[in-house]
Amino acid sequence: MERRDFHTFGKDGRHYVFLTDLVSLFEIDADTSAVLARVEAGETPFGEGVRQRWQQFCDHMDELARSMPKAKALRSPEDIPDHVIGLYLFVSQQCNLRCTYCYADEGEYGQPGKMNKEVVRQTFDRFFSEGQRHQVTFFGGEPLMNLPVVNKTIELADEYRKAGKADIAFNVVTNGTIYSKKIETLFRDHISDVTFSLDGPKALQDEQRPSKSGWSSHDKISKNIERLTADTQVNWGIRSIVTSQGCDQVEEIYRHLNEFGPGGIGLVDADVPTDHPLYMDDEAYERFVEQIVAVNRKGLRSFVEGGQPVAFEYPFYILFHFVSRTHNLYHCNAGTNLLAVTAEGDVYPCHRFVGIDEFRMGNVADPALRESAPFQDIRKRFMHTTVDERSGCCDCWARYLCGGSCDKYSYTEHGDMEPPVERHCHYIKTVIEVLLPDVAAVIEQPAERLELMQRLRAGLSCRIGAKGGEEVHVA
Amino acid sequence: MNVDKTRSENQQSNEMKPMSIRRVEFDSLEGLNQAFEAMTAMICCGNQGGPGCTCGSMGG
Repeated sequence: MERRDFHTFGKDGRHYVFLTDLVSLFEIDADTSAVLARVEAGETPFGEGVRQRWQQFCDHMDELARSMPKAKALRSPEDIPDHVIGLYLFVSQQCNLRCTYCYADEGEYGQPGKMNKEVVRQTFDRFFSEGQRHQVTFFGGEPLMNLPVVNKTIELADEYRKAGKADIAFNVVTNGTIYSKKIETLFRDHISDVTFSLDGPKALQDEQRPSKSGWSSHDKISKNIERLTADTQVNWGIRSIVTSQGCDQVEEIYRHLNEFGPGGIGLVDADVPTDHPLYMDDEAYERFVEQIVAVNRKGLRSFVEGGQPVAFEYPFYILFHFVSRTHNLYHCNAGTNLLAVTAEGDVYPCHRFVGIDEFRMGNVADPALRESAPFQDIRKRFMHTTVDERSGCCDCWARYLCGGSCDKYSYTEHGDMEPPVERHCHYIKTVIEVLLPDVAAVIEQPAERLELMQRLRAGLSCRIGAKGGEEVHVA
Repeated sequence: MNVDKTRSENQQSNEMKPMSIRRVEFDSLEGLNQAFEAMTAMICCGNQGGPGCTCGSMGG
């Protein structure tokens, strides 16, 4: 066993060791934890007693490892299928908002325009003709500013479905400021998942996401979330971008978004340059992480205590890996099974790389796109950037729970996809260290474990759209 | 310096309690993976996707 294979930590007077490869947690005595902490810190030399305890621990764990089934990789390079599973379709590179932190040049990505139906057809020809299932996400800009092409895409998907060429589900990421009966029908009949972008209470939302015409984006989206989710089976959630302006209001933001009903809630820090006024400095970021952890802890308690059924995602993220005993080798599917197509038909590894020439994989107008050198080279580059291959990640105890930083965030910070983003590392390690003991405590109390299981089943039926499920808010 | 440290550690080691290790069992929640995936839809890649954003961060 090496330093990279475990992590010891304590909480509330109890001591734990997490074994990276086994994806398993152990409660240990204080003396052993102290020894492990010294080994983990790279301290040498040791006295005989410390060395003996370390050896005793290693022998015990080696024996245990031989008796346990090995953990599996969620996706390893050899498992990655050739076909595209998820595709972001930039139907509109125009937007009616001018968000203060927008990374996309007010939604235009330097090339304002709307996708036409020929680009949609070419996209389908390139990626959706092999009888597979796919998820298309309408993205922008504001995708609902190009409703004709959204509808055309859905018509084409229906043709492909009938011809047995592809089974395609649709998602939308929208600022929620546009409403019409046609959009209501679209959501009800054709959209599986909707993400509304809403940053928080009115003052914060209108400050960070002002409209180009002077109206309140908060007023519009508040009304439209209610109208567009009232009578539909659609899964929906709200994504809030947290900046230096909102970093001390995380719980307030969460409470506000929670008032909209049983959708999911996602909170993510803004991706802005370090000299941007909305960038969180290190102290602000630390406060942000503390609040994220606090909301997660409250959410878990609320979930198992049967009060207001509110949850926050990280406890379930942790549970997923510990129950399934899986290794995350990638942050996401970008560049392999996930791609983005711009209004002009240019193909990128994901929605966040759009506009960066180095990552342009080709254009859907090219019949030989998928065999072309740029496409294959970039695909291989992503495929081989596993957490085991990433410098700075391969020796980290949290690597298989994390999968590495977002490739785009790493590229922005380092000009290279491999090195991790230090803030991401701090965030994920903090979440794990604080929440894992909480989750373990729930699992070890039979009554709470049973309550957790029952509410998870109820929550699942709600989240997948079945009527009658107990309302569970997830974030 | 190291000699003193080693002597001190040997003394400490004599005072160590026997090693105690207990695995925290998550096995009772097996079969709920679909629920965990559904409950983590917004965490995804943390990148403005959302439920079913297909980023694949949970292996999908």
